[in-house]
Amino acid sequence: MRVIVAEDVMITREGIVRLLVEAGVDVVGQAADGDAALSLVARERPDAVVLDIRMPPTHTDEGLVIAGRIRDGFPDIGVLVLSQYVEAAWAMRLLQEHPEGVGYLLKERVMDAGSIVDALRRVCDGETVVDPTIVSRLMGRQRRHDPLADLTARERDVLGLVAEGLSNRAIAQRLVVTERTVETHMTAIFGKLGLEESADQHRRVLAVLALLRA
Amino acid sequence: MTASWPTAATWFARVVVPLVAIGFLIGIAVVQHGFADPAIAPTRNGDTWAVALHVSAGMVLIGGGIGALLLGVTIRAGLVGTLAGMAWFGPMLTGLVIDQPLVRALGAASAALMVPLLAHLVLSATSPGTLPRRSARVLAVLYALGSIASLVLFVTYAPFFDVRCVETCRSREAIAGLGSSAWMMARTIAGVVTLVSGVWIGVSSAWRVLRHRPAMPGGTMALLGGVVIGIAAIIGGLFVVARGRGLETSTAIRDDLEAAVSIGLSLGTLAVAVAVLRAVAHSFAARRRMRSIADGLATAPSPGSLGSALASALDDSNVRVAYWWTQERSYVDVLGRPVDGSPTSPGQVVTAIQRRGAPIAIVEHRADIDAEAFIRELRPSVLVALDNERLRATQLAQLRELRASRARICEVGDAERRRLERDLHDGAQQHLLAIAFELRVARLVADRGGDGDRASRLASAESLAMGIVDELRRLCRAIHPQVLSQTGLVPALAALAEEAPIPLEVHAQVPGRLPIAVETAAYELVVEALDQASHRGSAELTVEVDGLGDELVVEASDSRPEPLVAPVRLADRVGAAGGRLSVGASPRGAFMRAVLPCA
Repeated sequence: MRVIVAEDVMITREGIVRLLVEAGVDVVGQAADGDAALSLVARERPDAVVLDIRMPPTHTDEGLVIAGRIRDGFPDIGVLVLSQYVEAAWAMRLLQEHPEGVGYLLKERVMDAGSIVDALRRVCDGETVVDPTIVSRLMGRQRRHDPLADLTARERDVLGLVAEGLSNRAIAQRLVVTERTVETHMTAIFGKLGLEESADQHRRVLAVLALLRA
Repeated sequence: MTASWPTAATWFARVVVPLVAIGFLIGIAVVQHGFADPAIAPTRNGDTWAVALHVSAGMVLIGGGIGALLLGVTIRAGLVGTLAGMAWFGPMLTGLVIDQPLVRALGAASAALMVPLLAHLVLSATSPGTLPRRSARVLAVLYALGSIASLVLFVTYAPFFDVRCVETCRSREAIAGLGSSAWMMARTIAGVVTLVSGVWIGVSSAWRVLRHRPAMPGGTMALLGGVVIGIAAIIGGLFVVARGRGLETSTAIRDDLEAAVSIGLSLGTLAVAVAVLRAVAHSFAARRRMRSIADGLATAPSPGSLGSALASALDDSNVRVAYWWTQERSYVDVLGRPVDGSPTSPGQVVTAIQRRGAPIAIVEHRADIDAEAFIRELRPSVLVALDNERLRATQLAQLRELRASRARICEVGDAERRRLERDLHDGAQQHLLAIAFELRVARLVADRGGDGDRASRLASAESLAMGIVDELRRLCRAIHPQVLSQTGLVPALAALAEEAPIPLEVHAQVPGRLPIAVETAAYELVVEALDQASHRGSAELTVEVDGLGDELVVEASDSRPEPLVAPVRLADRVGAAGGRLSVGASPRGAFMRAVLPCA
């Protein structure tokens, strides 16, 4: 898989690149800011881009803007935004504007070769990925009126794994059930969240957004 | 406040009508009782109505002049008006059948100066301030020539003040002959002066009426009067000059012309005199209003009431009052906002008000208002009130400065926190992550090399590093929540709820982003209330945010009856954003509330 890495802090960028290479990813370019990343993307046409959310000039949310521009300009290229922000608000901003082919991961996730390769593959396939830490923060949130209250404990687990970007098969493996069971759970979740019949992938994203908004 | 002073209609009724009426009565009486020598003046044929009109115009002229002099509001116009009035009656004096040669000579002499004086009056009544230099020069020349003619006429009208001398002084034929030719020449000069004055005032008045509206009260009426005077004077002057050159016309034409000239002069003069009277009344009313400001003052007038009192006293709704801020050597308005000390628009001028030699305020008003004169009329109590208002305005200005300064201090602190957060986030945290990445790579290498002991040591070092990364992440959020400054209040509160130890219910109606100081204050209020509520074991915290109006109202309440505590730090933060912090109890439970202006 051909990947471009954009991160302004050099030693962090080098660390990310080394970890990606260790995980078997083909890093075809490195950029220190958003504009360099965009021109590299146009030249190299990678399969995916790994972007730091904070880059020059303002060091706030440039990564989200660049992610959107890449998705708009190159719908085939998946984008993974790496961030230090653990709040769901950022992930929601990313997913709301571009609900497909994007992922929001905490930066340390690159240390887990399996997770990062899986996430890259998913965004390349047009799916969405949200960091498990953020998902579990949302799941573990103290609440009185839970919009997800109708879901059973099992269904909530399934939804969390969907948010993390797992496929039905991966969820089945993780929960040690059959894929058929997961599909049943998914149908129940869509029904309880009032998501209309539509393309399965689209509904999965909507379900994740419902979780982020909750 | 000004209700006791007559309006334009009533002063007209009270002053002009009586003067005109008395003038008419005198005029009719003069003609009917044969006091006038119809052969001399003002009209040779002795038309009663022309005489009555003549006397009326003179009465109003002298009335306006003396009124202006006595009231001291428009002294120049008063002096000129009085002199013109005296000159006006000159020709009549010569017509009186009295054997007073001195009086008759004075009357005859004054006629030469009458039209220059009327021209001067028109100028005085229509232009504020001193006359333009060119007009003053023309007037000086006319006065000089007129005076020479007057002097000659005065001496030669009745040599040795014997009215019959011209006819009877046969024994002094040489003197009489000399006097007679000098008299004729003086009459010609007087005619020329009258003619030139008439042309000048008629043309300039007509030009001013056509070109632009005169701003002085009654200015248009005075100018129209000037035009009529000008026409009458041109005809009269030509007539006199023609006679001086021996061109005689038939008696009928002469009488008609004289009557027309007399009536024209009377009507024009009446118009000018009424305009002068009106200006006098206007000034007098303004002065009374200035004086009466004190009567309208309560012991502590409400802010701004002095400004509107001055505006109505000066009869200018655009009057602007600014107070002198001694400490800053600048001006502030009644609310303590800094304002300009110079006129804000063309056509406006600024007049300073002083108390005991020290500046207290400035008044901006229309350029044609002689504010200096009015301000002299301000009573000491008004000056004290103005000075009080000035003190209040400067206190407000100081308060304003203090508030701005507090907000700036807060801003500086926030900027410092942002910088600190950035340094931590982009510096220490990134480097720590880089170390963790490095450790992971080393661990993978160790794993591949089958060095299990080394790999586990690297793994524990890595988890230590990640622990610090988490710690720093929390620290960064505490120093400056990026989620607040980047995504706004509502997402930031949602993020707060994600990790809140007790349920945090947020009901927010906020239209987009608000000033960062307001968002920060509201956010910190919720953080504080959440902290207190969770520490005292509340079941939950409910937050209501209403930002739909001009103010953001944020209220956090838990279900317990004991009040929440408002820490000074939070009160300062809310205060710096210009808001108010309060705590209390409602049926729903204890609450902490801030009202923050969003404008």
